[in-house]
Amino acid sequence: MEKIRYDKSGSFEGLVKLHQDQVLNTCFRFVNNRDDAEDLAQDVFMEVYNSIDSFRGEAKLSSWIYRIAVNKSLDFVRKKKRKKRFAFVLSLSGFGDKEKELQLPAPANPHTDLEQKERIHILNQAIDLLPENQKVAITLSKYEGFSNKEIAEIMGTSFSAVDSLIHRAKNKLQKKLHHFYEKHL
Amino acid sequence: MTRKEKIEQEVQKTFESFDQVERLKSNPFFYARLKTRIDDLYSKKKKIRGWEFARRVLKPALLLLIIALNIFSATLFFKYRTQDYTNREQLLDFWGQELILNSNQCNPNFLMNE
Repeated sequence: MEKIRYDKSGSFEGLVKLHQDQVLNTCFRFVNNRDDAEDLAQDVFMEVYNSIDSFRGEAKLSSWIYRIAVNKSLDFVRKKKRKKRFAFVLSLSGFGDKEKELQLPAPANPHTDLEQKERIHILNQAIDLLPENQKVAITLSKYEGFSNKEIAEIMGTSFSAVDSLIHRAKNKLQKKLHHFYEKHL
Repeated sequence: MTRKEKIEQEVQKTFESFDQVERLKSNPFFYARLKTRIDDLYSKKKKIRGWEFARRVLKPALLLLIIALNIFSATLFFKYRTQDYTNREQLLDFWGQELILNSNQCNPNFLMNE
């Protein structure tokens, strides 16, 4: 069984060093902020350290770590959204909830690099508007390069469910992007 | 290029951005920071464990000790009170005999007062 010991003998350090970048990037894909992602990655490894004894080895250790990373990131995003919603209600009490739409990031710039950054920004916004499980599946698949089998382990679901989630996410993204470019081109 | 084609192209390009996102490198002090946090947590846990020991073991032990002391002192109190009482009776008897305070004997002071 792929399991590290709790004896602080250096195996934990090895584990952290092996996964820290991917955990950081996974968190970053959800929170879109480096500092928040770094804090979350720290929290992920704290939890790994504290609950390594409860890891039963049913899934791969790495899948378990990324599952913690995804759950922590989603919790963070939910909390942030709740705060935003509360602030919105406070500032505009009495107004109805506006339909979410993609926003134009910054004035168009001829520079290709900047154009690319804009595209990434638009894509991230579109992903943010997806339902949570589709968002997780497509983020892990497209950004982090996990296989569908690994994603199934991380999400605790079946291979076919992941396949379907990614397919639906792609369709929705396509529609949202179409809608966006129809408006802004 | 028609507008529709242009839109298609933009959507396609945006989709391709998946492969062009930059990957973050974690801070070189990531593990050191993590280790500090873990050490802090465990020293706090030790403190909490100390308090937990005080709360779970010392508190009931102290309570039991107080109850035991109360019972002990109550027992002593009642024991000596009865002893005291019997002693007082013995003392009265003793002084009664010593002063020969029998009913058929007259008290000279009593007579003088009369």
